[in-house]
Amino acid sequence: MFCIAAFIIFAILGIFSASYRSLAKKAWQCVVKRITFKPCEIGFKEELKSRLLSRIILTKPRLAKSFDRWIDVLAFVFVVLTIWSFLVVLNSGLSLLVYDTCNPNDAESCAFGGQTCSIGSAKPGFWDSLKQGKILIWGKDTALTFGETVSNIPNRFKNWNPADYVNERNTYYKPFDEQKPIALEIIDPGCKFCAQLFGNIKQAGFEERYNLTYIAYPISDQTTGTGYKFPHSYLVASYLEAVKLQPLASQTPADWQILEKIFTQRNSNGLTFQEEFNLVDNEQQVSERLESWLFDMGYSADKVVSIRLSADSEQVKEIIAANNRLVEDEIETKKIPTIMFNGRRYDRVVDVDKLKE
Amino acid sequence: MKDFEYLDKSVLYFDSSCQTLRPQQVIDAMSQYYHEYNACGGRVKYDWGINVDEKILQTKEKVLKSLEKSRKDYVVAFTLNTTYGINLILSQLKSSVADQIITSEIEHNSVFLPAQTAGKRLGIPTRVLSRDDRGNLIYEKKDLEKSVVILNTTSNIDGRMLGNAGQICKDAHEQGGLVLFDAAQTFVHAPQILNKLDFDGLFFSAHKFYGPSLGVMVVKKSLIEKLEFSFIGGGTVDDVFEHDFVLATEDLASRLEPGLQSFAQIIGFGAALDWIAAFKPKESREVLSKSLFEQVSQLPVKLINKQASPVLGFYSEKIEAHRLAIFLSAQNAMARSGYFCCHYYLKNLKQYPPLLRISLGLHNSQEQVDSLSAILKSIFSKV
Repeated sequence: MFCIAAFIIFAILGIFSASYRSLAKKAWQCVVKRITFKPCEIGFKEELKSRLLSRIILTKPRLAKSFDRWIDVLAFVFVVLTIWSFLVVLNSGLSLLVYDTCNPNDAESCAFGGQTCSIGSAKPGFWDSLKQGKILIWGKDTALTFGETVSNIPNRFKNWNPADYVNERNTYYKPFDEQKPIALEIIDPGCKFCAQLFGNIKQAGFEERYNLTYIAYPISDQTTGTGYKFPHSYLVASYLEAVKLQPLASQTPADWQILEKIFTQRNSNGLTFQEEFNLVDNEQQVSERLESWLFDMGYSADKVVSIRLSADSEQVKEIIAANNRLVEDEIETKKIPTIMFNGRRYDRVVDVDKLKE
Repeated sequence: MKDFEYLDKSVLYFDSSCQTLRPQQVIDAMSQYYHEYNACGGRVKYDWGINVDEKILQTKEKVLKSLEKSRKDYVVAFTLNTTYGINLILSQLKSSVADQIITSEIEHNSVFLPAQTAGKRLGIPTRVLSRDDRGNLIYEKKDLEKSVVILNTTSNIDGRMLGNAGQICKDAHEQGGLVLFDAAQTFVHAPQILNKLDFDGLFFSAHKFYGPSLGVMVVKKSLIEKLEFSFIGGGTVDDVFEHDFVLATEDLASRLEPGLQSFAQIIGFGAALDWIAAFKPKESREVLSKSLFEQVSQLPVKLINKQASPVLGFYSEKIEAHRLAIFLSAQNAMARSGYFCCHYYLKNLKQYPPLLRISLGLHNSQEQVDSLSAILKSIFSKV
């Protein structure tokens, strides 16, 4: 194990300095002997150990003795950690390629993944698994996730056609124009990055060049009291789907008007309505706010009641469940906002310049 | 020391048995050759070449003089090193020359291995005799009957010397044999013991004698007649025909010097001979050797030496020799570890672990010996 550790160290140092390359070569010969079950060259191992110890033997003899005694254990730990690190980097790199995040289970923790809301997995991390004594399950889950990532590599290079994921229930921000291509967003009404993308879309005039539609996807999170990452996302999504079932005769569909208010408008306290819903309001207050907007849009009192009942109906629940299956099983996004246009898919906030292209 | 002024003062070099350091005079002589008369010697009519030939001749004369040998009986030839010289003679010996090859157990591989291969090539046995603690060969006169006897005159392990070398020469010659000596460790430390020896061939290295990297052979002219030359080329012949040639007759040494010679090294060696003849050490080598022996004896080590010597070999059960050498190196002290090319005796016969060898040179001082001892003491107290 010492030779393997030495090879790793000298191979890395050898990248920067030729003087370490011969040592890396010697260590590699030792590694090959190990792999082929031949005895490692003791001279090389001893010489390296001695060279390390020679620097401290006179000044820190106790440390030198401990180092001498435990160096094989340290080498073992080093090799395990290096292999682990390599696998983590490989896994993260592949995830970044496939899902646009180095950590599909917690996309927000990945600095390279852009501004997104993570669709967390229910799978516990390494330390939680260790605490629960379920390290084997963690290993199995990690291996399965890695396998899934590898199998999804082709998705990264495929031509994403939004038309494949829309149906008759989808509404468009502007009246549908067959001459324009479709652009599809996957959004959570509570996600601030979805609001940011919406702002960029407006700023870029994107909605004028595309038939812009969306799928409302409340991000689930079993660690919260509501079962969702943002407390009222599901309620808002229910109203959006209910409104779609009882459309208003207006140029901008009522559900889009609701989204626009949530994403862009502020209350009397200066909070955006998204912030108010996420941080201040309870479920009843959110319902009241949404229904007051419906009145303002021109829905009658009866219609508002009907929408309220529809939002709590099995039909709407089924629609949201179908949307979730579409997002999780077919599009397989790990973070939102996701937006598809021009054959590409972006799982992050897309900047204005890109949206103008 | 003035002649080694160029050295880093913090460096403690104790591997002179392998190669001595070069005094400034030797470096200057070589530098002068390269700068002022950088030419080939041998059959040349221009000044630079003639100058080279003169310097080479002078060097050969100095070697013979230092050994008190006559050019009537002996020639001096230069080669790469001691090992190369021994091989050159043993590998070209005629098969009728000897019925056996005699060597000893404490030989360097440069003697031990050519002795084995020569025995195999000639189809005669190679016998390995023992040496006593003082270095004398243990033998009976009849053991040397029609033998090629090849021995070191000073061991590179512990500096023990072949005290009965003179008697061996006498007995071997009376029994119709030849005597070859590996004097690599002797020529520098005790050349006087070689003076009265009636050897047939003597081999040593200039680089163990404060000179440049160069092998030196002092060979009896009668021995050259007993060689069947197969390693020949430029400079070794008087004439050449379509299927034959005539070996050099005037300068017999040239038969042993095929190809272009290392002129700068030979000239540097001449300067080394001059330097050592004039050298007046601050402390005698005996005093330093004794001091080193006494100080190392105080350490938890097992000494191979039975007495003080400029070459001191030991091992310790507290710390492996290679590790000790590395620890010393970290303190700027250089000493050799291992079996010093004496695998048969140290590793297989005596079954010693690798040794640490401290070998003194003329550049070493009492202060350096004391520093080395202090470092060793400090290491042993902490391992």
